[in-house]
Amino acid sequence: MSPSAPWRRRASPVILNYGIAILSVAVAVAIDVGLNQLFGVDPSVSLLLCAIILVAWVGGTGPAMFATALSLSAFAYFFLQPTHSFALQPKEVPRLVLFAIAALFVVWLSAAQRRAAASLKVAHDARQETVRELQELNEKLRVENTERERAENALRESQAELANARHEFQLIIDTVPVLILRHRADGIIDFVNQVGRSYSGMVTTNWTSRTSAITHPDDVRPIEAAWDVALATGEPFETQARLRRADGQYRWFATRRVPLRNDACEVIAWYAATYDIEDRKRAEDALRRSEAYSAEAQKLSKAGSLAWDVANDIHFWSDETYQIMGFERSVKPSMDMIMQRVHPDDRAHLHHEADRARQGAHHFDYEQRLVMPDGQIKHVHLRAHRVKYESGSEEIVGALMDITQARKSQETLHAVQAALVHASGVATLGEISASIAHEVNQPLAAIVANGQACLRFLRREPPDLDNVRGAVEWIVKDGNRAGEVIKRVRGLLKNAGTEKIAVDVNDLINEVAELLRRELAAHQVALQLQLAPGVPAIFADRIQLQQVIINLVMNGAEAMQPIADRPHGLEIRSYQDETRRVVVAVKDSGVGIPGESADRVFDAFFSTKPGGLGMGLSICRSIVEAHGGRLWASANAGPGTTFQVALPSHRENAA
Amino acid sequence: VNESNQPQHIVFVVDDDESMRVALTHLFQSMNLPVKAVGSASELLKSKLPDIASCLVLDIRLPGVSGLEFQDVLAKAGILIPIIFMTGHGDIPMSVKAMKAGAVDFLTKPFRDQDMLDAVTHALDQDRRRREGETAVSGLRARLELLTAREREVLAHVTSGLMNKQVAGLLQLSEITVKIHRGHVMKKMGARSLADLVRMAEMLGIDRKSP
Repeated sequence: MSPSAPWRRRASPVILNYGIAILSVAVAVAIDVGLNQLFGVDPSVSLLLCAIILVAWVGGTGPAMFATALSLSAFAYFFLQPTHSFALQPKEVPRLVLFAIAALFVVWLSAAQRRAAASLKVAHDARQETVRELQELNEKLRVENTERERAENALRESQAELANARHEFQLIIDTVPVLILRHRADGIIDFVNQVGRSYSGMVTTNWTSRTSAITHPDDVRPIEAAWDVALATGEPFETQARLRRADGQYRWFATRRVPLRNDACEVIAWYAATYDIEDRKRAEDALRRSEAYSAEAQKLSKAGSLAWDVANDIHFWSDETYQIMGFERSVKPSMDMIMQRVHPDDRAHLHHEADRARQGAHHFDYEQRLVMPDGQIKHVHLRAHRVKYESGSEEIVGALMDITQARKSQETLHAVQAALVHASGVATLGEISASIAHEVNQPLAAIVANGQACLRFLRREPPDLDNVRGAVEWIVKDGNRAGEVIKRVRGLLKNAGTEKIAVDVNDLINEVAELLRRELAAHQVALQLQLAPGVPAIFADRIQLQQVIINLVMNGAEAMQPIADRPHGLEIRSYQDETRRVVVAVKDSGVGIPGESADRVFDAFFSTKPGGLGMGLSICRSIVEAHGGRLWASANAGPGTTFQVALPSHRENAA
Repeated sequence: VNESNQPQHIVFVVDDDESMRVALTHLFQSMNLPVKAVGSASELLKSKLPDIASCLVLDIRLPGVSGLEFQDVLAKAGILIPIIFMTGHGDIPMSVKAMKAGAVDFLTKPFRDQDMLDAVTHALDQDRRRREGETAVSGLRARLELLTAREREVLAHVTSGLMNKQVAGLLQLSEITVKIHRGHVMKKMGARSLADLVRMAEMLGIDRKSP
């Protein structure tokens, strides 16, 4: 109900109702008067009664009484004799009273009617209100109901979940690969999970100790001691022990125990999780062992490990690396420190390698010199490569090796090798000395014979001078020949340090062929030369190279010695290959090299010849390699082997 | 030295070294010995050896077939030419082998001309004697061919020292028949005496067991 309603009911309609009363009565009077004057109809009270009824209906009792008064006045004025005056004739009074009674009755009826209607309306409104209130209540109840249901559902669900969770918890407790134990406040075990029971193979539920019965006897005491401390302090603690599996095998386990406290903060139980660390233990042992191995190996091999996290510029060095670099273990390694040690001439190279690392290069392999604080020079060899860890970080990991000693040995080796090369030259000469002796002896014998012939021709009468001349000419020729041989031999023996000059390979081969002619003939070897004209000169030590060729030729000749059913053909070829190297190939038709020895013929002390020293080919290879060349052997398509020496040509070498 | 054009003897030289061949040729020419020098054994075998006293001067270290092998080849071919070996160096086992195989001498280069001359002279003499002996034996062999089978039997028995009577007994002949056979044998073989006949039988290698 709106708050303005009472005002409307009381104020505005009061004036309006009285207005209506005046208007209604006036209209009724006017109609009556009109009808009387126009049609001469007797004025009737019925219209006035109608007006009163209307006012009573619309305006209520007050205005109705007012309208009644007006109507009585108008009735008295217009209809009762004398008309148009309020004066009454006595005979007219009953009519007026009757009218008044009728009017009042109508007002009373109307008022009664109106009251009834009003009370009906009020009753209606009240009912209406009650219905509305009931509806609101209903709505509230419905909402409440839904909420309750929801709450109930939630409760049911959470109960189910709880049950589930309990079940799951039980499952977890029993299936996690961890032995779970509960201890009473005094430490005595009162629960072991399924995993624990099946591990131990024990189903006891009646425990009497703090330490489980499957603990290795040696490990019990430390655990008991830990318990004593923990019970006193109430602090969580951790132990490690060997536990016996159902099959009797002991494995290492770690146990962590935490106290459970009540609201009063008193320990009411201990929970323990025991997990298998056997593999970890072994891995630790293995790691420790391998670290020990590595340390020993590094010490022995004088090789240290290092790693460089390039992105964060962090260096990691092993003990041996510190040792090699000559820094205290306590110093934090850095690029500056490394730079400080590196020989000034090698620093540029190290910068270059570091840049490569920063640019993502994968492999590193280089040698450097270090200058130690005492001025000592160290040679080191670094090999490293990029390692990508699972975490995504990258490091350069490698080994640093002190090769100073190796370097020194190498230098000594070179010196020894040089001596050996010379010795082998002498030895080669020894081997072919019989032939060479023959080579010298032959012209000498011829000279002697010719000389004696001359004497005899001269003793004749007359002296046979024609024959003397012929003989003397040969004496000169043979003398020169002997001289040539001696010159060659002296060349072979000359102990000059390596003296590299431009050498024409073809000249060299011809010379060797001449020197060995006799020796080869004695071995029934037919020597064939195929020398490519215009082969460029090579830059070499003539004597050493000659020695190589002699060696190869003699090896070929020896390889053909056992062959009886085919000629002993030996071919020396010279040519320039497609890479412009000068190649000398010595091809025999001998027994060949058995497959398994092919790789080893160049090894020192390896020989296929009974009584062979096994130095020849090894020395040959060192000589050839010292000339920047290569010496290799290959099996022929037919019988025998071909040895080839490839050497860079003089011009290339100089370039 | 024979005055005629036909030489009485010749020295062959085999050496692969030209200087040596020339020098030896000069030397033998200065000794007035006919000489022929070749470079290899096979070259020598290709040429026909003359039927006169000859000897061979051979380098023991020859290419291809060695001197010692060549000596063996010649012996197997029945060529009995005396050989003088030359060697660049005194190789004792080799020289022993050569001498055992019948070499006449073994000279080390360089050699004295007199040693070579002695060796060659000796070798040529030996060859000459061998050739003469060979001629005599071939005469006897021709005469032997004239004997009948019975006469050969008689010859074998008589030269082995049996009496006529014993021979008759062995061959179941009369003593007179043996005497007649013996007379024919002496006449056909041209033997002047029994001793002469015995020497001939020896040269021919006849004895009782191989008549």
